[in-house]
Amino acid sequence: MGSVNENFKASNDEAIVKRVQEGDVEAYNLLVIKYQHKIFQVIGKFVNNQADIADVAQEAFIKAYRAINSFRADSSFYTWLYRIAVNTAKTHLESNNKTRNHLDVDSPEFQSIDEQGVLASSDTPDRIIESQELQQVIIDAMADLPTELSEAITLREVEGMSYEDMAVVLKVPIGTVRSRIFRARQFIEQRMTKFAK
Amino acid sequence: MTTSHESENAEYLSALFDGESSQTEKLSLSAEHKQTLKNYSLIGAALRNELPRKVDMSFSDSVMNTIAKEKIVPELKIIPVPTYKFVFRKVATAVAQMAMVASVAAVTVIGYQTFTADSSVIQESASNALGPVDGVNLASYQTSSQASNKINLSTDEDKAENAVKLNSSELKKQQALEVERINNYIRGYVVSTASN
Repeated sequence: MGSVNENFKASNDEAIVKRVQEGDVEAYNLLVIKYQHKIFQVIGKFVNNQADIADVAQEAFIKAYRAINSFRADSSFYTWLYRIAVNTAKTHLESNNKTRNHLDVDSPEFQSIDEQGVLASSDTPDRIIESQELQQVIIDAMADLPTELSEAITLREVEGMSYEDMAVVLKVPIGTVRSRIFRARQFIEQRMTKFAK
Repeated sequence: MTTSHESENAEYLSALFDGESSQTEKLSLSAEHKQTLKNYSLIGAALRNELPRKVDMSFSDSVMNTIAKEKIVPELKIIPVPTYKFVFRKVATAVAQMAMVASVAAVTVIGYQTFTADSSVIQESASNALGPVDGVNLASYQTSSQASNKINLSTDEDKAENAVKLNSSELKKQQALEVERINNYIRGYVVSTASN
């Protein structure tokens, strides 16, 4: 079930992981931000309940943090994280199957789940956003980007190419690649901010 | 309006997100930086069509809060201490491998020498091996067909004379002596070869 996106082979996370291994906790925050959506998607293939997906994802990221010193860069960081996420999801499913027969469907836990399977919690409702509209805003912004910028951000985010490879493909210096990717992100981010307001 | 320093910082953050930053000092991310990184993550996920139906913007904060609250630290890398059994197995394996390699090498060398050896050398070696033992050379019993005929001829010529001179008991005596002489030679050859 599911496979690692091969496009992410080129993703250069070793430098960030090394920072974490040297005790830089903030660097781990960067990895969580970077991979949270991919990990949610992977776990979503095993677990249906949205609230459970978040819990399992959190458990997977914490397990990965504990084991970060055992990461030896034999594979990409995402491949390593993917394995941890899948194992955590499977363990969750097994334990869930064991306890399912003992659950009381009239319990408050079941009452607080809405029709979409999302936990009707009042913890941080404003922090949960509908992704469909957001995705449309981003796609529209991409259409308005100058070709050189949309090309750069696509090679990076969709193809997973390194700056070095992109410099070869686009026949520009690495500094230009870096600048184009940044400008593309900045442009799209401004549109996202307008949407949020 | 952003200053050039702010712009450089923002560009650095974008490269850092891609793991393409060469700077190695400890990260210190402000709330604004974190929000920017979250937006970058959303952009990438949207372009790859990976966005979940609902996006929890506080997920990473909750992971980092749990790590801080529960004082979770990365586990130390466990380096296994080699046991006696482990070391013995390693050494035994190495010795077995060396023995196998030596056997193969020996067979190869001997095989190669045998294959490339000159046939005359082999013949010479064989005749040397059948050299004189205790003063008697086996070659003296290896007669050519010509010599053999000669012996046969001389035997035929002298048959009548010998029949007169020697009676049958003397002939038997001579034969017995000859057999003993041959046996002595063979015995000496075997003993000599064994002692070598």
